[in-house]
Amino acid sequence: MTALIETRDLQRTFSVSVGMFKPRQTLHAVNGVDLSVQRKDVLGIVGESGCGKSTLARMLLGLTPPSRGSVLIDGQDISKIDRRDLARRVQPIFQDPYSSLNPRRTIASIVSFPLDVVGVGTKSERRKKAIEMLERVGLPARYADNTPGQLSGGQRQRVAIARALVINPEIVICDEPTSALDVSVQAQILNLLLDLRKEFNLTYVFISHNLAVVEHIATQVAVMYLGRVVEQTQTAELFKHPRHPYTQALLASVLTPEPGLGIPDMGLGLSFPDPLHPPTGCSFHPRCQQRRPECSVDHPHLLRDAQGEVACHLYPARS
Amino acid sequence: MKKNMALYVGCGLLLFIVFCAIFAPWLSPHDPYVQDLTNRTVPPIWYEAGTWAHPLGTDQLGRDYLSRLLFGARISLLIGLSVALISGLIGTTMGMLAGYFGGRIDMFVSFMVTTRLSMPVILVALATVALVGGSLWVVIMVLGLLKWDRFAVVMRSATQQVRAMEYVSAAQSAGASTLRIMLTEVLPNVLPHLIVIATLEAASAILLEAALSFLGLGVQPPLPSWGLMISEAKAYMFFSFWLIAIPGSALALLIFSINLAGDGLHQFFTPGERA
Amino acid sequence: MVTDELVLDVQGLTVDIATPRGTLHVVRDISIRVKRGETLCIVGESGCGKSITSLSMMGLLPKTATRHSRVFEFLGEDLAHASKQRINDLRGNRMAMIFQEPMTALNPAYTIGDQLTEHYRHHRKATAEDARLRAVELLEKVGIASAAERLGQYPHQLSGGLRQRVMIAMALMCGPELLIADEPSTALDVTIQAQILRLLADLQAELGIAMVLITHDLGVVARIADRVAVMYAGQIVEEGTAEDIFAAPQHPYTRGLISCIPIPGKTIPGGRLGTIPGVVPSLIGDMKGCAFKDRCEHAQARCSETIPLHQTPPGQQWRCVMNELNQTGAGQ
Repeated sequence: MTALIETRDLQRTFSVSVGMFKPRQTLHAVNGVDLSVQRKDVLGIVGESGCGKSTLARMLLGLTPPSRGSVLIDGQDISKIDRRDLARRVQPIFQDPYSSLNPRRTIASIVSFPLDVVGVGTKSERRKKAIEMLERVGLPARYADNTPGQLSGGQRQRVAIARALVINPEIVICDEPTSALDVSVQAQILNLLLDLRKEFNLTYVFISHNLAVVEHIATQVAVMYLGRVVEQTQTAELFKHPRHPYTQALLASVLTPEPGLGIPDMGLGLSFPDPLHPPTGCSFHPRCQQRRPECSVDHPHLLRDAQGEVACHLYPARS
Repeated sequence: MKKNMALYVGCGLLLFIVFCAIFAPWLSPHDPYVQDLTNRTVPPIWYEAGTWAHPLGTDQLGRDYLSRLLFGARISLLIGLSVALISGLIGTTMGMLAGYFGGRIDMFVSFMVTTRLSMPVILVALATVALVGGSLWVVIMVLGLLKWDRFAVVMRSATQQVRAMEYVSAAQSAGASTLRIMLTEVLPNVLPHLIVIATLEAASAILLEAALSFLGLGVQPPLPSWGLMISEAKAYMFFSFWLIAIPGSALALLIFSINLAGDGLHQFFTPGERA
Repeated sequence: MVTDELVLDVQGLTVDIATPRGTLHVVRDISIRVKRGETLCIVGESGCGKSITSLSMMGLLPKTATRHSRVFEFLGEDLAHASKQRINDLRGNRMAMIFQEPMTALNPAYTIGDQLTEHYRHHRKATAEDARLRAVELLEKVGIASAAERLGQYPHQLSGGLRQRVMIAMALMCGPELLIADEPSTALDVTIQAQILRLLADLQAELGIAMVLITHDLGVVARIADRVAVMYAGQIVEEGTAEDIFAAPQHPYTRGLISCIPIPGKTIPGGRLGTIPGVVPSLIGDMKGCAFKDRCEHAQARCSETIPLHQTPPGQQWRCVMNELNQTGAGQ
């Protein structure tokens, strides 16, 4: 079955200035990512700063062109799709509810904007659709003519969701949609996203650094580290049997509200991931408790088996 | 809001001056160009020799000073408005393009700004006027084509800030064209900066014209430009002091009110005022 | 090891902030008591007043704020009426604070060494050499290798996690007896977060300091706190040991908050998370009764009057009309 959205050896580099008299350096933000999302799935992408997940999100949306590789929707390369047709298929929900809404527009005009661009129906029909969608996400119609400044963070995020869905896309790219919200509001938004997924048959790519949230909402999870996918498998499998040492460290770092368990020591050491100076060989090896001599020399190949995918010398790939 | 006195006082004064300028023909007791050589340098009403026929006195050619002052306001305001418009259009376009696209366009605009900043405005204006001859429209064009640099710099950085906002990315994801995004998403959000700079540049343009006219290279007589009036009154400085003081004070008042209004607008648009 | 000596004793703390729209009652009659060796976590969502509480303890409130308290003692010394000079002497010296954003809390124009030694030289009148030795000692204590070389580095040369370690070292330079940490790990990556929290816990155990940790993250609270104070709309609605609060939360807000959080392995994936309907009430104007009543499923007429304080030994207490049996009976 063709995946609804997939990436093939996706890469993106940036040329970064590191000082006045020094030559520019190359930043490999995304360094060869293969992903595949089936219809109605939720792919969770987890990683910490410098892993490239935000750049990946922008490439999935067609906002940033890849340096190499491609993003395909239903087998079609998105660079060949007209931007308005692409808009009808993929929409974003961003992290910061305070910068994702134009402060000088009314709520109704923000939500109807995708419809305005594509030119669906008359102005009043578009407004009607926008208000319907607002009510569906839990924001009463009386907010339609307010400006974003008058709404709370959770309400703004609802507006962002309404805007993403008003044009009936198939795929929604969620880039940390609940990270900036209070815990009680986060729960409301997650419940809403799950309901809407069922109602509109949506496919999500859900990017987050919060593993507990990803475990709750995703069907498949891909773990990213310094621009590469180090492990990818079904959610339940990842949380029960994590294979890559980084995944294990990530899971161990999740501080669940269960008293008496203390704070684990994962032995990661002091080095931190610097995308400008990635380590040789496996980029995780300086922090890995289970490293071997070959880890600092060779880059691990991706092993694909029944359990999922993992790129680690502990699980050598054949050929 | 009682806090923003700058806005109220500044705009109030400015509106008063605009009113005087617009209704100059009806408010002036005489024609500003008519000379009356029998009534030269009559002092204003607060002197002993003053008369109500000429409340602000007359100048060295017997022309009524109040009338000249009111018509002079028209010139100053016209200069301020047109120069702000022309230079604003040029500078904002350049700044927004540079801020939005970055890269080579940004480099080009930065180069243009640096080149322009290396030119002394007054000297270039003088040279141009010397070549082409002085007149109101020459002054407007010269100043308008020279004074866009601050617009470009400020609008560039304002646009860069807005460009980084996620609502611009959302608009791109909705399939909007770049032009549409610049006009509906970026421009409304950089407008406050534009308005504030426009007031400052208008004030500066008015002063520059006064300086040029004072040097004889701006507006030509018999037009009642305030700068020209000051220049013509130079010779009478010690005998008929009001000939310089009155247009001088008017100029100062206009600049003051524009700057105050600009300051008030800046306060008005600064976040933290709203809910 | 939690001892019995009371380091910080604050009772009846109220902070009001004057705004153009009226007086904001940010903190309303709260009491905080921390013993030597104890970690108290103040947990709440945005707007609950937890940050203002920490600032008021350090005397760092904005000019528009007024503070009242019945009792405000640090190691038995009254601070409510202390002179500014005295507060300055204590701040950075016996009472230290760590902030959320290591990037903005460190001055980018000065080296790490300068910033570390500044307070120490001021409070202890130490020589530059003594201060330098102490700085190296503390950098090593917070786990930074090649400490001597690091002294000459600038903040932008360090990663977020390292900067936070430097902040912690800075706070410990003068050997404080009270450490207030305002969201110390929130801005850090998850794996670094765990390291920093572990470091704080280890240091506290070793040096026997009292720690007040402010956070919105219940996971952090569960793992690191001895005692927990749950704040809502300027009040402490529930207080107790970490075990008590998580095993048997009594206040409806605490219960609601805990039910919101997905726990891998416990909450059903794809299922509905608990929610707290409504929004935080305005802190301006007369605030009678319980601030949570508009969002509580057990709200009743009594909630608009004075709310009783219930207690179950050995120290769990909450403000609600319902007692531990979920009854709104007579008396407390």
